[in-house]
Amino acid sequence: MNNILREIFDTDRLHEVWQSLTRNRRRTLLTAFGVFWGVFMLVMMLSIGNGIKGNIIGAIGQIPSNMTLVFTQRTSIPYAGFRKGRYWDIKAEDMQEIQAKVPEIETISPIVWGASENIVNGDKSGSYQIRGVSGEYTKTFPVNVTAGRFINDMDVAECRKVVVLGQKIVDEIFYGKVPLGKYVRIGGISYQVIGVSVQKTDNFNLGSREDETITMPYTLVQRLYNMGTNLGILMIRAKEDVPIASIEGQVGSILKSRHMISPDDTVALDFMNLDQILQVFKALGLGISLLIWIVGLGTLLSGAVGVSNIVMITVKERTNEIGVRRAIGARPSSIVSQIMCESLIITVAAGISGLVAGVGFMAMLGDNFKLGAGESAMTLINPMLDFSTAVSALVVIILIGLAAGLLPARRALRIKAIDAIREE
Amino acid sequence: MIRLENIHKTYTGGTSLHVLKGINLNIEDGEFLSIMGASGSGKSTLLNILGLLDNYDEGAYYLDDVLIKNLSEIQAADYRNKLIGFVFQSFNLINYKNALENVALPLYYQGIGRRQRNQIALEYLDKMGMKDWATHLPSEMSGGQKQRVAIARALATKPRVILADEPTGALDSKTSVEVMNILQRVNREDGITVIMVTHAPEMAAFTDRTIHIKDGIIDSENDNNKF
Repeated sequence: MNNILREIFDTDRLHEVWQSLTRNRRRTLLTAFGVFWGVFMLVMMLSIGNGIKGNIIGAIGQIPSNMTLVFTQRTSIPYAGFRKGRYWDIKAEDMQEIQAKVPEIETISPIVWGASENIVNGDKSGSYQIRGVSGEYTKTFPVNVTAGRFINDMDVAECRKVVVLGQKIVDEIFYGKVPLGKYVRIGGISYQVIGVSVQKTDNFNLGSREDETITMPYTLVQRLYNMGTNLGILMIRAKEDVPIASIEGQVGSILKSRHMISPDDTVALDFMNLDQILQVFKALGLGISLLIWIVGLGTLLSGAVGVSNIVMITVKERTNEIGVRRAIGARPSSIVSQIMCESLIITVAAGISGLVAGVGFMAMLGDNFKLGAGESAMTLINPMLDFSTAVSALVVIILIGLAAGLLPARRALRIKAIDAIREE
Repeated sequence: MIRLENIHKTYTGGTSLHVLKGINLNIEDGEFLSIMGASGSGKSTLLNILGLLDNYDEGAYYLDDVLIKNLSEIQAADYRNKLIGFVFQSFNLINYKNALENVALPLYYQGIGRRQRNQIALEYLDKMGMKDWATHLPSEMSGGQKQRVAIARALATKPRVILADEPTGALDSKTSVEVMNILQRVNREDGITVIMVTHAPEMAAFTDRTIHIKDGIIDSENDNNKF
């Protein structure tokens, strides 16, 4: 082994290999291109995969991890004289009760969804989703307020007719000029604009996109749609170090007892916390990575088969030469290392070129390249190969180079001096 | 130098072919020997066995008083490299290497450094009158020139024995005589044992002794110096 290694890194050996590789330049280049392309694609896909993961993790990173959402659904078990399949709603009083009885809650706030309403400004108009929240909303879910302010507790308490407009509404209906403090007509009613909100995360929304949402005090939404004290969903954030699951348990039993829902009903009340979401995304990320490696390695493997094939042909073409070398004193190890070296050099040179080209190409696209177009475009966050992946890719390339040389080397070894000389 | 005792060789595969049926031969150090025989007589097989390119089934082969039997590939390669130089009918130069590189190749397998290797190679090319062709590829040379380069390659490692398999088989008569003169000179001046397979009596006449092989045994031999 030592001997073979020494022979591989011998400059004379490299000279020999160079001579034989450059003898058929076009063929060598074409063969190398197979490996180059495989590595290039692998790097591209891994980088894009990283970008997508960066995007998702960036989005989730913005949201406090000890948060849960409470949804209502139809009951699934008959209980206390009620049939199953009953509709029910969380009430404002429930929220107060929960707040009073569960001290581990840091903040609790509702999201009350209204309809889509038409907003008019001169000859411009458009229809956007109405959302009612309290001042606590931003403590649970991140919102960027770029002008003015967000809804506060006074707005809620006094049921003020104030709205926060999404950035896209400002752009499309108000020509990008923020109508701060002005009155706008929405669904035939005048509201004062108090702020503009922008999406903080790219692809993680609750219900509607922040940029395209009209936000109001939730009490106002209840009144607009005759909801009484109904709340849509609850957002709960636990205090530091309190496991969200224990809060979910307490909130669940309070709501069930207040609404005559069987304690065994697992359908009527639904919680969704970030842990669950995170797990889904993690599984997704793992799936993406796995798929990329499988496809990438597959591409690379076909390149390696190409190399193996070409080196095999070279060996066949050089039967006579290898025989002569054996006759004049080449040891078997010398022949093997020459063939392995040829395969290794093609593969590694092409592989490193592919690696560099792939990384260079992704660097050219930049840190925030948008994948896709328009609304659904996804910004790739830092779409780069991390160092450890690059190293493992390099190791894979070297292994593939050696593997590709194995069969041709075995074939070369079977050539005896006498066979070659007989071929005359 | 070389002693063969009752060498047998059978090729198996399909129908088995008993090629050598008991060869007994002594070759003195510094002798110039030719082996003659019809095609299929076993003369090339004998040369291959002498050159450690092929194994024999029975008997004993002593090269430089060492019994050559069941050698590993590595041992055979090393013996070939150190003791034996080959000259082939079809020259067998490596076509993408120039004359100098071809001659230097066996020295490369001895682990000699490039500078020294090229120096030795150039020296032998000069000896063969091919110094000016050092940087030429085999495709740019005539048959006689190629054979001279091949002889230079065979000599570069200072072997004890040169084995030549029909060295003039691909050459015209004038060039053949030139090559034979070179081999004679190598034999006489450097004292290297030369063993040549040929089917041309006029080439065999250049050698000291000729053995005739027929049906796998030595049929007759004659001392050429008597005439």
